Amino acid sequence: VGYSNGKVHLRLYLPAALAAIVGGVVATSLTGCQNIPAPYAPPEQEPRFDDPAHWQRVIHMDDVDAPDHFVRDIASHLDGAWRWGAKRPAVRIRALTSENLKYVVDLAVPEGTFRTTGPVNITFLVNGRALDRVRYDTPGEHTFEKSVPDGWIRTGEDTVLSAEIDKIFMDGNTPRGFIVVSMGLVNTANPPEQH
Amino acid sequence: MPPALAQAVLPMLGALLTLAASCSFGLALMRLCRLPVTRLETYPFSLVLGASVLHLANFAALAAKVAYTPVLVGILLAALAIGAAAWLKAIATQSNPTEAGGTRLSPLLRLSLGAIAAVYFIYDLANAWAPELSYDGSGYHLGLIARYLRAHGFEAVPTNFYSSLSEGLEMLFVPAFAIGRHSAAALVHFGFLIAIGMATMAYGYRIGKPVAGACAALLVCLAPIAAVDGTSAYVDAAAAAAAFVVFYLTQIWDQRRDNRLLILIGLAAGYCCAVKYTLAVMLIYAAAFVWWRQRQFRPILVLAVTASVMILPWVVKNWIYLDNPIAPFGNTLFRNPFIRPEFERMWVHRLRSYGLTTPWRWPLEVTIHGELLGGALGPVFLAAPLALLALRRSEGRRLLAPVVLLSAAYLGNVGTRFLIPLLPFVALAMSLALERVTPVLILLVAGHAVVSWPRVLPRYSYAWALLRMPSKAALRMISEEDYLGARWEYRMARMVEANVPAGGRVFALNGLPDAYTSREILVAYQGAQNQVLEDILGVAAYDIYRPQRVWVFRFPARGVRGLRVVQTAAMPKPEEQWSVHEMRVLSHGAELSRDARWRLAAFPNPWDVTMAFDNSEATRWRTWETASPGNYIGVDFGRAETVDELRLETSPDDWDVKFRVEALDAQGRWAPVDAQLEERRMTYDGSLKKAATYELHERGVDYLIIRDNDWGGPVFSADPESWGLQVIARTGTPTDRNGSAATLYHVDPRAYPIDQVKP
Repeated sequence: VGYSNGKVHLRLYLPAALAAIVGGVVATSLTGCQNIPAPYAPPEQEPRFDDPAHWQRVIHMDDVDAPDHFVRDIASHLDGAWRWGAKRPAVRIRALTSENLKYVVDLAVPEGTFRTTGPVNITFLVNGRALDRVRYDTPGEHTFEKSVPDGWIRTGEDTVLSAEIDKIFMDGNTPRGFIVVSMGLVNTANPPEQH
Repeated sequence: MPPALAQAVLPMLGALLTLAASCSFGLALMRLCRLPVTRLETYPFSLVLGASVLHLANFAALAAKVAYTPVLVGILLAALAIGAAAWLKAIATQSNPTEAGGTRLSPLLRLSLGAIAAVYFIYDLANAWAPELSYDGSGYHLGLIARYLRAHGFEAVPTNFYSSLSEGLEMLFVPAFAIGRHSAAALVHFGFLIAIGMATMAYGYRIGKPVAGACAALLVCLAPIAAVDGTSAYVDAAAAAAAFVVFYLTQIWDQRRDNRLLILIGLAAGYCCAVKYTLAVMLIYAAAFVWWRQRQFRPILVLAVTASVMILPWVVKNWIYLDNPIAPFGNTLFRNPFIRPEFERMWVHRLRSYGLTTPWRWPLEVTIHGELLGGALGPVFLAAPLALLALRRSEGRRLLAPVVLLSAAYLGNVGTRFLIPLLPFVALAMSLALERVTPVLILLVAGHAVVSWPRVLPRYSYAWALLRMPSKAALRMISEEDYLGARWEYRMARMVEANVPAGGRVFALNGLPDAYTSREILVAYQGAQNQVLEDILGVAAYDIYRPQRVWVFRFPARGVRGLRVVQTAAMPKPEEQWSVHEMRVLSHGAELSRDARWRLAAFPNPWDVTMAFDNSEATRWRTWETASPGNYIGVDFGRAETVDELRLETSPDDWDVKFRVEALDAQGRWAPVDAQLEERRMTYDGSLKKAATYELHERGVDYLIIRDNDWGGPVFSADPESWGLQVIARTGTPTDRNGSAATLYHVDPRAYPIDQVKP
């Protein structure tokens, strides 16, 4: 390549060379840019970390694993976020701590059954031992909460939480007790991980 | 040499050697291409042109992994040797400034303007020479250079997207830093700030308007943002010098029509791009100008080829290290696991506004307040519209033509320092407009000098600026350790250095002065892998990111070779992603165990698909870009499996996703499955916090440095034990005492015996 003040004399055919370079770069870009890797094999399965200090578990009826915890008297059919309970609905939970636990139940006494049964008494039990008995004089949503005495629950073993209603309503052949939204245990001493 | 003396002398030595080597290369080039310059033009032209060559030489040393101090010093000495003849020739033959334009400054003006320049020069020099602790300078600009020097060459830094930016000026920092450490780099940059002033002044002489040139030079160099940026290890002043030299050279070429000058223009324009991506517009400017004046194709090609010599090394480096030649942009075109499209979208969006809610605040923000946009130009630039009066003259129109392009580039990043490349043009045009009323122009400059003075500036501005004269620190009469130790950011970096073993990796939610620690700092927003770490911690910390919801797809039992879920909805908001914590496949209520024959795939972000199949609820696959129809995640079983249910465990932060299940048949075709969809709640009763820190450990990150005012500050400090974290050091003043503090955590193996937790 030689230059003078007036004209540019190019011995090489510069435009063609440059066009070839640019074309090559563009072609390589377009073919190579979708840098998608080959499918992956499954990775090593990670462990689960229990945290007894913060442990709690409440079974919500619309939890995907809720049926795995049912013991008896809870309908298999899910209505929104609740299920019908019959005479003595019960769930099974494995506790990682035995102290500072509170038994909590979100329930509802439907107006339809209440019209027939009138006020109902529900006894809340932990491993078959009555923790409390509550009288519900009005239909609607209710929350039960009560601390579980130390020693009622054994760490690492299944705990059965149940709630027994004294009067049931027969819907055809189907017994209806009350509506269960959630049942479980929360740790009162240590806040749970943020939920 | 006593250590204190060495600390003072070596930075200056490193900087002077680097600047001299650049000028030397530049002079040789100028001689080769027969560029006629005046004495005043020699320094800026030779510095910029030589810097372009020296940057390539240092790039080559780093690429060849031979960046040892003797090699780098050897390059500098070779440059000096190559340019020796040109130096002698230049000294002997240069014309003085008046020969170009024919007019001189009056002695009174020379004295008064010279006095202002001298005072500010000394002030700026002291700041540049003092130990360097600017935010980006001691962060990525020098942090990356220090890392390359430890490795004696380039290395992939996939955890820091800043490594994908072109480092045209940082290549000059390399030898300076190797000789004189951090402040040597700042002094090199200061050399470019001086070059801008000289080039601006010289241009005034060249067009026969020396008063306008001298005044414009002061308007530029005294601007608070130019002073603080140009005396730090930043790159904006160098970018401005390179941009102005491109313009200047095109004007000389236009006078002389010597096409050898096109080589120099191309090199300078290419170097603009190598210093700062946004200044690629100067190549467009040069090409457009040359085309306008000559209407020939070949000169444009000369420009393109010479410029590409400067640009291509950076393109190739990005392609090799990051699979994306135009990183950090274009991540949907050049997909890669290092920089996510979502980051690019957010980053670009952020740079276009800096949180400025209304454009009406912009003029006062860039000139006076400077708090949001990171600096102020000085109130005098409120008079910048006066520059439009210069359009009446040919010189003014020529000066303002590049401003159009540079302004367009500025809209991509509205930080005040991104206006520095426009300043010489605007200041010259303003000065030209006022040249006939010289007293007004002089008053303007004097006023600018007063209101930019560090004792005056804080009275009206909170902008990043030089606020004191650290002369004792510059001369190392105060030790570097004592000077820097007063700043808690420095102490934070040294705390990491002291407490993290060599090779340790530290996760941080915000940046710190990387250049003062040899440990790798993974700042949350700086890379895709770091973002995953932050996401994992966020899943454990915040309700909205926890897995609480399960999409259950049920369908009649069937034999299939694979299953995938395709997202079918367009998102109403760009920030809406799709994420999956776990994907599980069931048959008659029992989960299929994840077989080694399975092959997992997802789009976009195929690299993270395993995070939806790892049985950890703390990790999740995310699109990391706006979810769009056709996105999928799925599995090829490698053989026929009878299945009737598929579950996606997710968090509730993807509000508008819609799905279709597809099955892979024996012929390898995906076909829709008529599946019944239910949304179920999920209650995870394990410890996500420990699962999260365990994931950090699994990824080789055993340390976290968290500032009190980071989102993780209160989160981790409230109960480190529940996270499996142990506090190992702390520095700073707590925020409740109006200070800033940070805590260094170690992932505590005692919290969960790591060797025993694997199932």
